[in-house]
Amino acid sequence: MLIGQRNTTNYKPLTTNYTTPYKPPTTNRKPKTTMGYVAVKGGTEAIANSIDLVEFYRIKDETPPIHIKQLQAQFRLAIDKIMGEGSFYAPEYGALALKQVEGDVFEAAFIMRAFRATLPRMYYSAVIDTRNMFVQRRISSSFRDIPGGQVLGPTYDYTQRIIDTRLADESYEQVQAFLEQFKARISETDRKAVTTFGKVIDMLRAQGLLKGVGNRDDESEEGRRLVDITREAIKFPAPRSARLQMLARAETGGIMALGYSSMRGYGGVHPTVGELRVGLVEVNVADPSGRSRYIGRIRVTEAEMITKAKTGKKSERSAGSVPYYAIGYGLCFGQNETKAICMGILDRAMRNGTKDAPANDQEFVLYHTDGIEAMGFTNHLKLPHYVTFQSGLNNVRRAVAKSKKKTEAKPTSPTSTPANGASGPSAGDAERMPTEVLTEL
Amino acid sequence: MIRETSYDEVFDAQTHFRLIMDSMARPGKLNVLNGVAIQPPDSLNRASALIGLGLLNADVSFFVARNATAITTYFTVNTASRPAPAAEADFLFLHGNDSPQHLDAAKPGTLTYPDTNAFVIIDVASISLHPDQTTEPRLQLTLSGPGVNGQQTVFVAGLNEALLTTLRDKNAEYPLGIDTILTDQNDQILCIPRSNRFVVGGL
Amino acid sequence: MIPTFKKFDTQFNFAFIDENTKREIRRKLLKAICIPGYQVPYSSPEMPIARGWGTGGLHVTLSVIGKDDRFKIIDQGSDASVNACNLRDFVHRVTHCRVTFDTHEATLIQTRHRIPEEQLNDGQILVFQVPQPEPLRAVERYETKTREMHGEADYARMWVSLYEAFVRYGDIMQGAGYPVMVNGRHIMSPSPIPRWDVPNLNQSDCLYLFGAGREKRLYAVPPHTDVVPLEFEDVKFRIEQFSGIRCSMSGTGGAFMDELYNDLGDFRHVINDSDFLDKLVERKTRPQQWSNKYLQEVLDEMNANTDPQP
Repeated sequence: MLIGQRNTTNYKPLTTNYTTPYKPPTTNRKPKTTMGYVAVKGGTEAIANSIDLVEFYRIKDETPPIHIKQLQAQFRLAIDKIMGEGSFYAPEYGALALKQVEGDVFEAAFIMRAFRATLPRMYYSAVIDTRNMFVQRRISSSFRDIPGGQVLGPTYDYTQRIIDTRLADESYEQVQAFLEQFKARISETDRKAVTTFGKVIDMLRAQGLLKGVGNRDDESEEGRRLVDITREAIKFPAPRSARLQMLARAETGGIMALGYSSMRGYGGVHPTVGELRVGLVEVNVADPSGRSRYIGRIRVTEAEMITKAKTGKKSERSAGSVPYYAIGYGLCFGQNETKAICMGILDRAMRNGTKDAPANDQEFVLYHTDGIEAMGFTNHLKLPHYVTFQSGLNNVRRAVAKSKKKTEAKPTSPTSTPANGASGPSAGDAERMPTEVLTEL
Repeated sequence: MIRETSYDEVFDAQTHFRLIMDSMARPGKLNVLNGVAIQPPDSLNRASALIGLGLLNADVSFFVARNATAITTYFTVNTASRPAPAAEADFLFLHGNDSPQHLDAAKPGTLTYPDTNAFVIIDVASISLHPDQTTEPRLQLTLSGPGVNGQQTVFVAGLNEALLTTLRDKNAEYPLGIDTILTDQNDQILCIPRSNRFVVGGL
Repeated sequence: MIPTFKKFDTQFNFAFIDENTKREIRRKLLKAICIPGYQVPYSSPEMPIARGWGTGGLHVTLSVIGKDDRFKIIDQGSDASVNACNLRDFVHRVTHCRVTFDTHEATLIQTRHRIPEEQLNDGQILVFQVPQPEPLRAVERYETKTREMHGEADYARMWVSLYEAFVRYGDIMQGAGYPVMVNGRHIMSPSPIPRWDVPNLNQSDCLYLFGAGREKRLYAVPPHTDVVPLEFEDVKFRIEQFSGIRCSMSGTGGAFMDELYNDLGDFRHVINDSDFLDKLVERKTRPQQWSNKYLQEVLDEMNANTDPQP
């Protein structure tokens, strides 16, 4: 499907180039009111000063500016994280964003998302095929050996986490010396031998040990629909495609906490890594004539988590029913194994069909793990709330004054009925109600 | 196939949207959609074409009742929207003299998501706030509900009364229903959101 | 030596948002107007403003705004608030629209948590930034359930919640964001505006649009629509009381007040709406305020206890 294929002949975009210096708007007059911290420093001017100051902090020590090529090359994993959470595969932009915000991965991912939202969407890519992945790393913890073998690849898993003081004065010569020596160890024939690998889960599937597991909702037509949550707001129960897309964009730490909670006993998904692979996959799109076109390769991490599955509800389980295995699936941009694994756990946990643990609860998991949304809203508490506060204060003062007046006389029981024509409360409803005061935001 | 080259998809679309929104927020208020030279196919009022150009894109589908081939091509080429059967389309372009079968098929939304309903755009001959501007037989529509300060009466020529009966039936289970825009040959639009009730009288 | 990146030279569309997304938001705004008070889901793309800082309001503003609009934005009633300044600069930067502080002059006003004291007319649109669009969220955490409750107009638990506060405290304790019944059908959150502003939603001349970006919902109150705060027959909705309180800058009352504390812990009151205050102080005119029975009571009381103020 093509989006944005409309008449553009008469398209006159207003050039709003962010590289040109910004001139503040001219207004008829300036607000003169001075109220607390709202206007004391004069809004616009205060912002300008603050922006200058943060820029000053970024470069005040007068060290040579970091080139984004360097960041891209040496901060690979940070940029992978930014691309995943920013939902935008563009390493050089990731590097730029990382530089712009002094290395804050949350902020950088946010900048990537905001930029991504402005880009025209010309094509949807064809489904990537991880069976044809150019594998850089691939392990299975379920089997001692697997067809093609375990490929450790680049990982910090087995580095001893001892701070490496030698890096403090690493020189370009040292870098070159290591590279030469490293290259000399690799034979050309070995390098060419590296190829694609079959999947571990295919072995289990061939033996009939794997079975789909899902809510009834997942089996419906709506449940199988391929949804793009950046084009339509998520609806619950969400189709699995929407859940996976949200998890792939989620904040790594957020889904790690929830995935971990499930393993520790809040939900009980304790899987084994059926297969974890990191490598390059081809991306193809169909051109207007329908022909498949190769547009490049991206690095992804894919996790297939094997869990035991129950054969149904307790009441449905008969004496002869068999246990089997089910897969929890995780895939994200770049090399981010923590994320892919936790995504796999949560994918599986959310298909438990219960809400008895946080990780099993779709709305809980998906609404609270988007880093950009969570960061924005928690930080919005820094905005002034004095009107909101005054409104509540007014109530509390009244209630306190009233109670002081009534210290002797006990309040009579109310006999209220709704005035707006709706049905009144029942005693049963009252028992379920935990809320004293509704939320104020 | 006509590619509208003088239509500005940024500013014309914005201007017309504001007028449509104004009419939708104030049922009974007529607005005029024009200011751009377009060549819509036969059996499609210019204002209807501009509504289509302003609101359709590849994310939504439309249905056309009359001169379907030409109008379908027109919208497909100019908006990348796709045709769909009346029961599935997000926008239905009907004619005031049509029988109500397509309107009857239009999706009314669901109780949990009543916004998944269809917009219906109906081409009529003329719309007027005064009874004396036309000699054609016309219907008198008295609207009331959100957006209307009390009541608002409008006169519509070239509209099959059966369409209005069907519309009333479709909107009986508010918040389910159909949101309607009537357009006339003088580029005027009149909106009847599902939240409004109306009384029909002949003249 | 170091390669330059030509592709980083990016330009943005008029009003920043791409035309496809604008069309989507526009369609959904129309739906929102057709079902007053109902929350329409929308795609809510990320903006270069943080979630929770007015993205929903911006989506609405930027999808609606045209070259000829005069734009005003307030945050907690003030044109000068830091976030208002930032968003005003952003909107101006991407549209080159005229911006103004004058409530009466503006055609499009974005607001966080206030309705201006000055009455709005039928040529004006007020866009609310909404943090939590779901009025039932406090009594039901699941979206699937609240959707059903709205669908079936099953609002018993909401009534219970208000009633419980009454039993406990002898009063409805809801402060800002007081829930309202719209068009006799949908319970709606008016966004965290003070109760002072709530009556102005009812049967107004202007159009109210609400954008909740993080929660991805749009809703609307068209002009001349019934908007009634939830209340019981013997426990009535009431606005904030500023009895006998006058603004220390303008000497007058009858407007929503801020409390300002000094270093000694003393406090004084100042009218919250910065444009309204400017007009009182600079222009020596009192703009046409909204007319509602709650405000009328306040003004009557003020006039009864009139003392010679400048």
